[in-house]
Amino acid sequence: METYAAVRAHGLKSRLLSRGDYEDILKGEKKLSDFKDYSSILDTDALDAKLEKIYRVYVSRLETISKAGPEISGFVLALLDKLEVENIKIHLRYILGAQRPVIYYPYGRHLGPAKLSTIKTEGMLWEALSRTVYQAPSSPNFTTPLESERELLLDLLYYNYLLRKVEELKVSNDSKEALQNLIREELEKKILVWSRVIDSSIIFKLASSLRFRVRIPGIPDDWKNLKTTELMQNVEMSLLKDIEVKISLRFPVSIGFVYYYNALAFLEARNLEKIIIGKELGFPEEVILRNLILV
Amino acid sequence: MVLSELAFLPASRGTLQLLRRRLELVKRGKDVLQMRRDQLAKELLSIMDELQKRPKAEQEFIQAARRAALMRVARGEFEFRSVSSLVKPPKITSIIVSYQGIPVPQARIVHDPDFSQITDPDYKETIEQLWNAVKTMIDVANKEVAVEKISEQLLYINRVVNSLEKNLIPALTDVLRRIEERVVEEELEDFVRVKLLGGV
Repeated sequence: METYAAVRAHGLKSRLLSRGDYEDILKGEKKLSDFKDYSSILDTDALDAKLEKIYRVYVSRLETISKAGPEISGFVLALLDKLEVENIKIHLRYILGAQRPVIYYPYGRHLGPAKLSTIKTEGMLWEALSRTVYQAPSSPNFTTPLESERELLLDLLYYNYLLRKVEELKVSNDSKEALQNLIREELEKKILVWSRVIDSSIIFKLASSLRFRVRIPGIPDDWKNLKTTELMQNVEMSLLKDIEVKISLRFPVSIGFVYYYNALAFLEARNLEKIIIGKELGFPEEVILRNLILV
Repeated sequence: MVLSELAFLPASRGTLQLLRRRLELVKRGKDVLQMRRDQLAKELLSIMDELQKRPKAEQEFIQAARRAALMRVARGEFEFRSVSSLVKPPKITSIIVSYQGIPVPQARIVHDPDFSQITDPDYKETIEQLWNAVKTMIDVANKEVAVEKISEQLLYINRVVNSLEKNLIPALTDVLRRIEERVVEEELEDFVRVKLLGGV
């Protein structure tokens, strides 16, 4: 089953957009709807509708792989649940902020956008989250009133859940271990970005409350002076390179390749989101291109 | 007193005195209005100096808006919209401020937006830059409204002063001279009549 899922991921990977495709879209030589997977996106669609359709493509791609077999579906859907966690963060910002209209990713399994929109307070949100697979504490003990502390807890809960799902996988020990190491590395790099945003003592406190052993990795010299956005882009890029080297090349027909494919498919959706917004705001081609993460 | 009515005034010493008093009053009024005009022009010039920072303010605003737009591209619409939602909006009210006695509506910031929930340094910097640019633009807009209102008042005073200078004062002076002549003539006639009657 693992091999079948990996082969499907290989097949789907061949349909991902290349650097040349992005450039053609930016130059206006090709429309997004010229690509089969995105044929439903019309020029006349509103910005929100276009973004929704882009992420629907990503969701449907992962759902296709999840149907490869029940043994791996839990893990594949857990990868997709990242969107749900992002939706929860969006709703948290909505609750704790000025409650201006927000948009949600078109995905939900445990706490979908429809359910989220009925939650009006932070207490209700944690209560609802405690009843999901994320196993959130029903009334977490936060150090600060900062929303970012809550977001960090959500990230930690998600990685905890993802690692549990990897543990449940019935795959070879080697590929499982490589995958676990990579997910831990991904978490550490996320923590590195978090350390720019929130005090490290809060990070350690939250992590220890979940019995998570985290460390803030040393920041490479050439990253030290980067702005947070640039740092995030570099982190994303280095993660993709790591996944490619440590998993996709070493275990090309393992579940690890599905993980690699998920990263690429999500990156494609993010890149297309940036292109659409950039074009909407009238930015020149080179400015948009500079903000894309191209592998 | 309407200007056209001046032609029908009876020629008498009483009318003469009344007209002299009126002319005096009009001239004093004109002087007062001229002083007020000078005062307003001075105020206007001082505000105009401050308005010179408008191109810089606009430039800053464009830069801040562009930076925010770039953040929107780099971070994506989903994140950008929800993070912006974390900022509690500022409170701005409209009050009437007196500029040299002229009531001018002005926008006043009651409190700044609350972006204490934004901890990401990039977002924080972008939002702070944008808010500072908006504050400068509000200040410029307030000054522009003041200039508009003071200019309106200045134009009105100018029209009144011109009207006094070009119409009322010459008309009053003219009537005053005519009536003076008539009164002198009538007095001369009376004098001659008395003399003649005395000779009889």
